[in-house]
Amino acid sequence: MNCILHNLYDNKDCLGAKLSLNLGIKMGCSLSFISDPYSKLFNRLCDYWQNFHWLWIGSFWRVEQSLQDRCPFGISVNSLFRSIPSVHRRISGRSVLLRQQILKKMSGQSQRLNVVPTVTMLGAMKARLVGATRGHALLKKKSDALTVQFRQILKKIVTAKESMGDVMKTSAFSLTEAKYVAGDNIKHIVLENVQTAAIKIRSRQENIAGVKLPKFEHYSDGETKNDLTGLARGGQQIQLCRGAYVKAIEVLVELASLQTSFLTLDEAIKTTNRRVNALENVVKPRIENTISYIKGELDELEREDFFRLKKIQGYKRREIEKQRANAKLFAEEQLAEKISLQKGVSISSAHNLLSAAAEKDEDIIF
Amino acid sequence: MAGKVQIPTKNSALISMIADEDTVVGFLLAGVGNVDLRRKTNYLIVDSKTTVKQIEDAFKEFTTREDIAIVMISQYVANMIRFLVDSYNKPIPAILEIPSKDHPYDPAHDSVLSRVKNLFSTESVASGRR
Repeated sequence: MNCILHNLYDNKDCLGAKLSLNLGIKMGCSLSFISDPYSKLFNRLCDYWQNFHWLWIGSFWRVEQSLQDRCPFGISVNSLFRSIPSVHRRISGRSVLLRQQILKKMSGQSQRLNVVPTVTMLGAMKARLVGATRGHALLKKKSDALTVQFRQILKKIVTAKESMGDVMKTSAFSLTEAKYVAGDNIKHIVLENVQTAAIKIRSRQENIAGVKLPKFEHYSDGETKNDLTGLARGGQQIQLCRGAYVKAIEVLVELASLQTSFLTLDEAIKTTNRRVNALENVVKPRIENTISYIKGELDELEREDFFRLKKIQGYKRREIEKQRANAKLFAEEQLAEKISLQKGVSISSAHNLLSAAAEKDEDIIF
Repeated sequence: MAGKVQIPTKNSALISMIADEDTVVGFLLAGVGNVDLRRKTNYLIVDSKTTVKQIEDAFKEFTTREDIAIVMISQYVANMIRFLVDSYNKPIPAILEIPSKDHPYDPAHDSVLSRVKNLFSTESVASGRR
């Protein structure tokens, strides 16, 4: 296992390194972390590249070129990340583009819900986000409660297992004593006398944060036929032995209920944690992305609307101006017609008259 | 909850055993033994003549029976059918590995205890104790 951490630039890289370390350990392969492509370490790495299955690159936008130039194994940055999909979140936000690519490649599903960007949907999404946040908080609490219980049970199990050894030893010893006194053949008598169980188990449930844990209790139900065993000789020893074994059963039943609780709790904690993580890392970001998407779309719509209004306004203004100009033209025409009728000249000469009058001087009044 | 194991609440359940003769006799003396109408016992005595097949069958039978809450199994017997014991993951009946008289108890073999120890040690390291 080769793990080299070197030259960590900042916290984010650190996280990445840790994560990749974990990953490397899990995959049982060697792994290294570098963030400065021009460091001596990197040179050495390139020399001994065959020892490393993974090359974790911190500042990859710089490394990429040098990687391709110098590394004989030639992993491109993209392929590197494609093979470590779960790491993508830890990559610092330095290369947004790359990250987006990775996100898209990650699971084949986009990081937001497929919704129609409307105000109603925005409200619904916000409600969902609130719900998800509350659920996350509650589940987290549940997980904490379970973990507390789990640790208590862990400690109890360890002590119980240790005491079990002692108890079993004493009971075995007392059986040997009984055998010595009563003779070896008592086992046949005992085996013959088995009919119905005198010691039975009662199980009930205990509820811890919604997880039902079984609890066993033993109780005596009727008498055993073994009371008369060893009547001839060694009766007391046999009764002592019996007592020892009953005590052993007490411990064992206790241990059994602890162990069962342990297994059940373990499972429950796993499920809860999985849910907490799913909410935190998948559901909530997705809803947040959706909300920001809807907001962006709404803003975009608003801008479009604004632009359209402006456009229409301009159009209307131009239209009105055009009409006004037409009206003016029409009025002039009529005036010219009137003058031509009055003075007995043609319309064109009346036009000339008018335009000459308009051009010459404004003071001249007809 | 999907995949959740139902825990039956019963007022009378049995303890069953798969162990060597001495251990079984001791517990029978205490009164855990039960023989039903079909002369089926809730225990199996393992001696030198018992085959692994028999132990496996007994283990499977005890773990599927409704009226059994705890299966006690001697550790050396459990070692013979380790794969079965390890793959068993139901909460009820609970599997208890007990020490037997002539085989020392090794906590490392216990499937549950090894997990416990593992968790416990990491926790102790984390909290800086032990």
